[in-house]
Amino acid sequence: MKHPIQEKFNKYGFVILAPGQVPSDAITTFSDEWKEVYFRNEFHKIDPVFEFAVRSTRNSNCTLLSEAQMTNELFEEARMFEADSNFVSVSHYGGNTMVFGGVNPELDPRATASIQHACQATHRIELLKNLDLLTDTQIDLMEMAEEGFLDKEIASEFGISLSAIAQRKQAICKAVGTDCFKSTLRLYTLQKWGGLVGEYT
Amino acid sequence: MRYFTTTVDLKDSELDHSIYVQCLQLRREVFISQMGWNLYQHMGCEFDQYDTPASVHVVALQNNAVLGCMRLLRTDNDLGNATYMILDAHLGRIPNLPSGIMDEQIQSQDTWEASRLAISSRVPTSERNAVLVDLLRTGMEYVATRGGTSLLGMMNPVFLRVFRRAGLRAYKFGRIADQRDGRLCVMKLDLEPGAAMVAA
Repeated sequence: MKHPIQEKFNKYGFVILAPGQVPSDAITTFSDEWKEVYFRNEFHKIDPVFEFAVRSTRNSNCTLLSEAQMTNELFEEARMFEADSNFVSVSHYGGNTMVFGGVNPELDPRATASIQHACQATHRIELLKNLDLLTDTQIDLMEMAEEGFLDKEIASEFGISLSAIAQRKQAICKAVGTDCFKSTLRLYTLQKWGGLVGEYT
Repeated sequence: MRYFTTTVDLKDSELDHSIYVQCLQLRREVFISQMGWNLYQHMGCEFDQYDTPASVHVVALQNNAVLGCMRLLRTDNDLGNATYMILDAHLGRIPNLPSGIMDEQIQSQDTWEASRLAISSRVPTSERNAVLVDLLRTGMEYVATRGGTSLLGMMNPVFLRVFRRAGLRAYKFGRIADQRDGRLCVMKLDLEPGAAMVAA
């Protein structure tokens, strides 16, 4: 599926982090060589992109890096790989975080809000892919939850205990990369009914 | 939520055309405004080469307002350079839809296609499955009265679980294809033996 941010940057990369996860891989248009160098040297520990993410743990946010922030050894090396990101975005969804860095030296600061919107859409698209991993039983549980069944009703239908339902919900969240079942259900509904439901009065 | 389902047949001389127009308006909202698909529209309505008098539309109505709709077309339909949407997509004739999606090509008076399913956002999430299944049941009853025995549709594969939970005999009828807006697969719903007698 195409990323909504694709055409806005010369090159970009992002890391999707499930709750408690540390950066170890990225989805990126930067070269494989840069990706390998970046994670081998744990550059995320000194990268202003991740420093911004650490400061934005509660809210989704974005910024353009200043020239001062981009003058250090990391950026000198990054420039050789055309990976000197000047735009940073952090997106949060249901406990999952996406940290994004993109290269576009011509970027108009007034456009950052719309690009942040595209980053958040990209984040959701990546999480939606994880829904394809759900088993038939997990889909049945999502279906009952979507129809508004209470946990005790779902438990009765499945013939299992309430705590087993809680465990199954947790397993679904883990598969999708979130820690909030309601958020996961919203994603599921978005994917399932996308293309079938429209605003109409 | 109170509503009822019925069929809209363009060949019906007493047809309330406003219902049909509402279907096309809802489709425009869903497929063009919401999804941004590059489809033909005119006067606030979306319609295509399959919207001929041979098609029949199933609608869910609440106080004469369309809550949901779906188009039925017999699979032996011949429109010159087109057949029915799923087969034309399978044969690679429809841009933006995946090809090679059917286990086998079907063109039979026994099998109908359901397409252009659209549901209004006025239907709460918790009731969408019910509206969808009611549309399908009404469509299946109509197909049964015309001697049909099965229905083809193209949807996100999770709907197989929805249909099976609702007691419908639904199964996958081709590969799961990834496309721009998510995953799709062709599914086949077999009517219960004797459904024609019940529906008649």
